[in-house]
Amino acid sequence: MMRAITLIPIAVVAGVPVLMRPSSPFAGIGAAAAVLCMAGVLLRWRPLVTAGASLALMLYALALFGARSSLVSAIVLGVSLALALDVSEFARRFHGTVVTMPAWSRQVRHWVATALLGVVTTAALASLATRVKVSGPPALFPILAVVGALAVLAGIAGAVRSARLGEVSAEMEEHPRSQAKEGESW
Amino acid sequence: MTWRTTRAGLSTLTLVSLALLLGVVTARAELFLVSVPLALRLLAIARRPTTPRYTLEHELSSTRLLEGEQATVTVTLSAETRLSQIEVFEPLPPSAEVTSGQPRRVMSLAEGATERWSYTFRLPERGRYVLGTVCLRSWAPSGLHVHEAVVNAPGTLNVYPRAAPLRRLPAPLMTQASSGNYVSPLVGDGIEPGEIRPFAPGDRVKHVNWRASLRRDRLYVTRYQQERNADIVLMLDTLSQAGTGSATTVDAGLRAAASLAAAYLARKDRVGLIEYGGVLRWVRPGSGRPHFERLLATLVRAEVTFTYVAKDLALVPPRILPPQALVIAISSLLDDRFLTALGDLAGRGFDLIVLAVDPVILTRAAVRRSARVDTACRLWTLERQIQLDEVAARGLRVVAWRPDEPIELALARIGRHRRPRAVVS
Repeated sequence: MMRAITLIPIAVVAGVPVLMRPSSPFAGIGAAAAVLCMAGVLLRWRPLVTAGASLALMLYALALFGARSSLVSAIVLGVSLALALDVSEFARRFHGTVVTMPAWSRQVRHWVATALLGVVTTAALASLATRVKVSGPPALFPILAVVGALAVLAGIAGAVRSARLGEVSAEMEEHPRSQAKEGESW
Repeated sequence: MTWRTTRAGLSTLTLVSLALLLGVVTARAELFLVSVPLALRLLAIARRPTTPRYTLEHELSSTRLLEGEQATVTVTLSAETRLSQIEVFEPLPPSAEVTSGQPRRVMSLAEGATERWSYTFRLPERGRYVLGTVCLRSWAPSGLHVHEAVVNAPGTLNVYPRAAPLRRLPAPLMTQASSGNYVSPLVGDGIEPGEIRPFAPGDRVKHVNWRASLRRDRLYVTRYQQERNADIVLMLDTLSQAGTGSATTVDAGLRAAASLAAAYLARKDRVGLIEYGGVLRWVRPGSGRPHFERLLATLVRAEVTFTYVAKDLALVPPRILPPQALVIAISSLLDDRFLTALGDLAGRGFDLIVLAVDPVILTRAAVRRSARVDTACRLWTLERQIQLDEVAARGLRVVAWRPDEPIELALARIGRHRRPRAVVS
């Protein structure tokens, strides 16, 4: 069931660029992105999911060339990418595990909250961006964008770096050695 | 343990970076907007969840099992703080087969709530297993934070070799003075009537045979035959083994030893055990149910320990190896040192029976079948028959036993009544 749930955000992530540019090459690359993501889910290997999502993102960037501004597609793709990572991570963590109903409902609530927060924040930022007027020579805008992007990245990277990164302990998964019993021996 | 950040955040960071890079390169605002929900996901890293507090109880349905029997584990988790997503699991021994339930469970508990669940597993191999190490992982719902802890509620589970019921057993040549199931030709205390003779001063009144006395008009007493028991010493060869997993000659020998011990103890005999291998272990002959448990506990930890040293049975005290004991040696006869020890025992006049566990059938089952393997196994069987004949020619009683056949079938070849043999050293 967990793996089936991951299909939904992955399908959306791969489908958004294809819907924007419905053509065979786009459909092929979109399918490849979806297959990569699903392979990551099935093999429980996170880098494959990231690779598939990255491919879908690049396909979206290609689809944007010459296209009209599409706020909805950006919101849908952004939320779907966040959910695809979240859901695939959940499926990876708890594959073959009994998940109780309260745990399921709590997790679904978290996904819904993530999606709502993503939609509202993105829409708010988009609306804010349309109202902000930046004065100055237009040649400076790309530099401003690069500086802004680098500042965001530096902030996030700093936050991630300051956190203690690490995977779960593999040795916890193994059974401790059985011990011999004391007895009369020579 | 404290909360740690998992590497799941790196995937999100990669996508945020890529979206921003593509946004700068293509100068499209949509790509910047795509990174917003992902960046929000990463911001969750900054928020540290509260340290989870809980109490956990771990109950094992039984501490002693026979091979293949099932045990049930019941786990109770009580939350002292809210546990939004907690994963509880107990690593089981690799050979364990879970038959119902799951040892791994993910749940969400409110403060003060209690969750109780159980699962059943089977252990097909004998051994002494330590259970009760329960691992708990508290996850943030995003999977970006994890808090690990281990709760130790140690419990030991002994899985004993399964004993098959035996009706016919080789009778010992010599018996002991204690009361048992063997009827002695000597008269004394017992319940089997032996002879009737005229009353003599000192005879007990309760032994007067009133029917004979009335018929003969003179007092007669009934004498009874003594009921004796025997000392049985099971000698297990753990110098070497053939086969894999739980299908080895030592495991087959252990099951045979457990069956023989159970059957002889049911006859009120005293049963002892000598594990002859890299380590010499023994259990003094005794009787009763607790003694059977003691024997099984020793059999559970029997294993092959490689050594170049041949242990001298002269070092075994007489209380462990009583002079009139019936010694049943259970061996695959793969190691000549065990044959030397057997020759030593026979030379010292012990009543000795060798139960030779067939290693060929177990080895054949462990390797992939081919014409070459079949030929090798047939040759090995012939060589083994010659070896058994040579051992028998030396005066030792050898009975071959294939582990896939009931042990009773092999014991039937010995016969119930035997005569002492001359041993050729």
